[in-house]
Amino acid sequence: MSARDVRDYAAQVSAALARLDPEARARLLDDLEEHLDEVAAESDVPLEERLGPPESYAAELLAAYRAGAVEPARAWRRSPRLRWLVAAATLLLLVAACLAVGGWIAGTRSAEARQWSYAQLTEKARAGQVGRVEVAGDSVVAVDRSGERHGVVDAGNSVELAQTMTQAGVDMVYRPAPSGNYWAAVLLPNLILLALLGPVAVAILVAAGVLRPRARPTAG
Amino acid sequence: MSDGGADTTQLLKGVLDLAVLAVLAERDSYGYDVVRRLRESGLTAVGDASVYGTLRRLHQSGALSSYAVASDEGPHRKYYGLNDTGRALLDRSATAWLGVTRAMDTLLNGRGAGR
Repeated sequence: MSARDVRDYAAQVSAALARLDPEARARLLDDLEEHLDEVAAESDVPLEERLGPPESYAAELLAAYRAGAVEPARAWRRSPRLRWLVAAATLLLLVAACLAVGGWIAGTRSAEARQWSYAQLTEKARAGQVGRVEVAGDSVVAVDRSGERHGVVDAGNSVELAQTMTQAGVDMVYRPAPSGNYWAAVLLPNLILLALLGPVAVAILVAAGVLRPRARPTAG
Repeated sequence: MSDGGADTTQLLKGVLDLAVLAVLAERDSYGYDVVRRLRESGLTAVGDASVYGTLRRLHQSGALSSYAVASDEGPHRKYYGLNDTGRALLDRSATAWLGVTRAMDTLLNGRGAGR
């Protein structure tokens, strides 16, 4: 048996284990060549005939190496409790992110919910407390000097409103009428968020071993 | 491969750790010597790769110590030996194994008539 046969065989075993991380592979194959040298020294029959194809040798080796104990770094993936903990944490994170976005949107809206009547608006406008008034379709929102937004109920005739505001020195801003309803406004950003975070969550769950990607091809 | 090769291989998977520990308890050995001694003791179906993988795992898990010894032919040999962890593991596994074999003997009682 030539030394080259041993090198070749060892290299092919190593190549068959390419999907292991390099460090784990190096640990596993640490003295494979020396070991194969011993095997080779005993007989003139080629290694491949005695030990089978390098790929099956690699598969058998890995199976024996992984039997029972797994590598410490991967042990947590085997623990069902930890796996579910990771799954729960991921889902919690996802829900929290959705709630945060929903809450933020609801927050902007509830600010508008601190409503003024038309009389209040006129009064505040004359007192110089209103920065501008935004008109978008039926919705009229007054923004006060501190930047806070107030929905105006029963703003009435927009021409009259514009005259009163202009007299009071308040800017009028016209915007296109908002489309969709409240739920669309809350749900849409959430759906976008889900679309962004979903793959991340799935990736985490796959890594945690909770979800299984399609069975990987097994050697041997 | 011995008679009933596939069956024996399947059975061996469960006890290879114990067999390897037992061989090393007798005296320290390098990889291929372990294979040879297992086969000499009757475990002819034992796979070279299985023994190598088992040795690496037991070493990795801290049950075996290893050291290099210069050899007459070729490069150094890596010898494996039991440390305290390994000896404790062997004791535990041996007790468990003896329990299983006793139970199996009872279960299979009478089948050894042709012995």
